[in-house]
Amino acid sequence: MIDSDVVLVRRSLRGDAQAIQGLVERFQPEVFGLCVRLLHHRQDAEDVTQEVFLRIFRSLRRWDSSRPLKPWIMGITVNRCRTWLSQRARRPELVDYLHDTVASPPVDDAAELTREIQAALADLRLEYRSVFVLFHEQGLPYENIALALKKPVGTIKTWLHRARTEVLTRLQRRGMISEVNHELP
Amino acid sequence: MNCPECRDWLQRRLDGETLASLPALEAHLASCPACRQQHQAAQVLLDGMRGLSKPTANPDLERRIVTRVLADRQARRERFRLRVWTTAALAACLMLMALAGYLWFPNKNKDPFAIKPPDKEPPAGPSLGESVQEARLALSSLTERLADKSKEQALMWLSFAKLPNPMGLPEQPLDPQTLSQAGQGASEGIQTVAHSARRAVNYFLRELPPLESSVKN
Repeated sequence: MIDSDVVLVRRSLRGDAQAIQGLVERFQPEVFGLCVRLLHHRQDAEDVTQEVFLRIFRSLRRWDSSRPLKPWIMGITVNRCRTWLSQRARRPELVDYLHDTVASPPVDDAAELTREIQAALADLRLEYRSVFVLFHEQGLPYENIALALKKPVGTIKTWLHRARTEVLTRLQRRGMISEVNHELP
Repeated sequence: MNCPECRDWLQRRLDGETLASLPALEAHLASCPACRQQHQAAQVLLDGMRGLSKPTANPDLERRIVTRVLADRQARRERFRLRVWTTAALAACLMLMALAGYLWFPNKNKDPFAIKPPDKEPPAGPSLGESVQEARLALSSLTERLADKSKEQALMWLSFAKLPNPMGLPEQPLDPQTLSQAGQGASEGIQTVAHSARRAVNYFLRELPPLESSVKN
């Protein structure tokens, strides 16, 4: 039987190592996935994922159990990635060769499209990128993204719309789609 | 189907709803190039997102996270325990020092734990109303007394100067005792006035703010 998030959190707070492992197991793929998309750097994403879980378990008592756990965790992840990006911007880039953007060459149209979307995501503002990934890749509804980013639902919808438009504009520039004369709804 | 309905359908599709294609939609898309372009762009985006593989972490990452979290908890617990023991030891030292000080320097004349009686409040001075009433009585008494004395002295001086008595006042014999009484009466009257004036000045001095604070301000 799978324990609910609340049960796992309570057991973790009592120091149960199995519960801690259960929580890590449950949320690590999504946290890591979001880190990779936001940081665009695999090694950094692994480091930040570890930091995110340290922060989660340090502040687990502050989680409001009447709200879902995943948006709270995703909010911590986005904040941590933002801090990491601002720190990375201040230090000289010595590890360009590790970037994931230079992945394997495209073999077909689908793979090329995927690569272009990844590149388009990397060019987005952090807020737009976060909303786009949380909505389209992690499947979080608007309300939960609003909880995670502590913004109104209307703002989240606006950011998502702008993110889609910017991605499509890039895809147009790269010739992946024909010119769209009217914006998406 | 018209353009707004078509956009609404597309929005729901982008929001993740699974919608079957409708004949009315197909007909509208065939006749409206703008909506057709929007649908094609959205379809490319959704296909691209579906093709986006989820990043998979190093299989070792989960174990590293759990190890680090457990180590962090252990370290924090140790720090907390150390802080508690340090605080308790400090408190015990302070208590021992206080006890040693108490036993080492006994003060038999003064019990530090004795309950101190409350300080007596200074007697309150007369209120403004009482002072005014007193001044009024003193003034009226003084006026009456001065009037009587003046009348007696006038008679005395009239008889002494052998002047006519225009008011028809009864004559009084002139003797040294009468003169002494007249002088004493005038002196008493002046004393009463001086006393009342002193009371009034004291009252206003009491009501004024202290000199030091007014200088500071």
